[in-house]
Amino acid sequence: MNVVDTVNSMKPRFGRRTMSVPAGGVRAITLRAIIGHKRALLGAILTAVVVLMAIVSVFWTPFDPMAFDTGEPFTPPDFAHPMGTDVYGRDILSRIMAGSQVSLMVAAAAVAGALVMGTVIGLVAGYIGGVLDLAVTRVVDILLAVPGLVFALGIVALLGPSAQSVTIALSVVYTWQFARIVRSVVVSVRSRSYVEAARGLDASPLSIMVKDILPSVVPILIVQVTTALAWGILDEASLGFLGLGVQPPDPSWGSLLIEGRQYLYDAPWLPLGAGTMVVIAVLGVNLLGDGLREIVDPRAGRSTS
Amino acid sequence: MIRYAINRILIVIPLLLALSVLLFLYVHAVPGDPIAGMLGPNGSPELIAQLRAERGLDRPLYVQYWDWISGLAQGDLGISLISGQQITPVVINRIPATFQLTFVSLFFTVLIGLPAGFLAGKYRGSWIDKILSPAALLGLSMPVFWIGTLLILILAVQLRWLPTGGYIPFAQSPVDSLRLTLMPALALGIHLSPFLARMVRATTIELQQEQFVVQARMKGLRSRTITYRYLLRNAIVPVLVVLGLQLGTLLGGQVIVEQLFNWPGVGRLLVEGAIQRDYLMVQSLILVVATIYVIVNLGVELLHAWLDPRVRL
Repeated sequence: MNVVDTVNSMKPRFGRRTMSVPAGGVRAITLRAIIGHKRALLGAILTAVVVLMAIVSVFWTPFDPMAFDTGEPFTPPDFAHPMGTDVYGRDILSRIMAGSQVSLMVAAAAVAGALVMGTVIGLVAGYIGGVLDLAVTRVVDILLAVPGLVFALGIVALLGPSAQSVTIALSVVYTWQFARIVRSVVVSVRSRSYVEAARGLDASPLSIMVKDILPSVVPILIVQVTTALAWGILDEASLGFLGLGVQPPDPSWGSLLIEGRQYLYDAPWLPLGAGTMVVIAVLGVNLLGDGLREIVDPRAGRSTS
Repeated sequence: MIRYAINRILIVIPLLLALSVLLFLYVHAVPGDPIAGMLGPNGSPELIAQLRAERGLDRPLYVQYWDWISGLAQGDLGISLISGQQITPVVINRIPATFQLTFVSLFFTVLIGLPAGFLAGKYRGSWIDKILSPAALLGLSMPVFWIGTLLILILAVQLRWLPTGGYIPFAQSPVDSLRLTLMPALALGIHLSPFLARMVRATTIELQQEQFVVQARMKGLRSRTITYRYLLRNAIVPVLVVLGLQLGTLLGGQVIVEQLFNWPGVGRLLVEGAIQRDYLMVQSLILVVATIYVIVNLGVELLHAWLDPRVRL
């Protein structure tokens, strides 16, 4: 047992942890289970609020988020501008709402890409095994030696700063996390009797992977998707904050925070809204993921609490 | 122990070599010509060819790789794509700032995380334990740039106790230097400590049920002796392990914090390189970061194995 295993066995419920296969199999995620789980429900509500705000902003924002002089520059929060205005007199609330589209889209697209690529790599490597499996395991080991954000930064450096680059970079970084989890599930169910039976019936490897193995991966993938979405929102905001994401004048939570940094003494309220939104979104998705993990594997949260 | 150490080291070397190959291939397999992209519309074919030749990018790939990796082995990080200057002196220039921030951050992480986790575990179910769990959850959901921004708003803008950022070398003025380190390091400390606190709490709870602690209590040892000699000492082990594993988060967080507080460290160099698309610099810096990460983790693993012989099995 090495240090990583030791620590994995002791890890708390949050943080960048990936889920392992529960020994007693997994349970289905139902709407009733979510409603019955306090934290999952709170997480679902917070997440829904953020998503709703992004959807509303597609059709309506209080002001045009790009329009100059909707009020005096640096108006403190008041009735017309609940979050104040920036150096050009743009309405901050409208910009936060419009920015939520970018943040959620980038996170969702990055996770969707990683989900598809990671599942395919993990399924094939785990099922076929041999040299391919060894190669995938080694690549994962190697890539895990680079901190995720630094890795993403390198990819953005190659592609040039933009929302697309951030999406691609995060997708690549998360793919290997997904591949690793899917592979571990596949290896654990590969030799179960129902898979053997399908093989005995001369089913094609593709059919076995999709029809027999994939269903047992799904619940764990759902949990992993929520965890990855929380990373996605955080990392998008971080890269945006470093000036590597959406370029001005387009708004995103990360870019709103940089603008806030520039005018701290003139308008200390500038970064508050965007920062709070990031925290709400990440907290919501984290709570939901945490709840789902306990629903899928009821023993997960009990060891120490 | 020595055999264990040699075994672990033998795994790390090929891992780093393989990473260097992957990094190199990935950087040199970029679609399109990065130099043309860098020069933009002003890049005539002659100028592009000239720059490629100056930076040695027109040589066969295996020659370039060999040049890069043999240079790295001698501490030469190569040249910058943009300026054509040596990277190594620039990095060495920035290392003191980064190290100073790292050490003070780790100090704050332990200062916050260890007592909080230990007390919550020792007095399980008490008010401190009940506060810790939601506080840790909130801390883990807060991006480090947000913690830093809040600190700036409170300590610099509202209270005017500290400047909003900047750096003075320690040798020049130790007091001012530490004053400027305070906020960025505190931001990183708050960012990293929830994870540590949870680990320490879990370990402390487990330890209290261990045979040797139960027996010590039955022997009638003073509760203070048990706390310090039996519990706290053993709770230190996971602290080491977590700090090693958290180094990745620390390095990533440091990149952001250095940007937020105008801290001229290696992290900011990486961001500057990324914004300018200086991929030769980024490639070398990523390998340096990964090497530090892997070596520190190896060190922690060996230390852990030395402290806790069960690990070696």
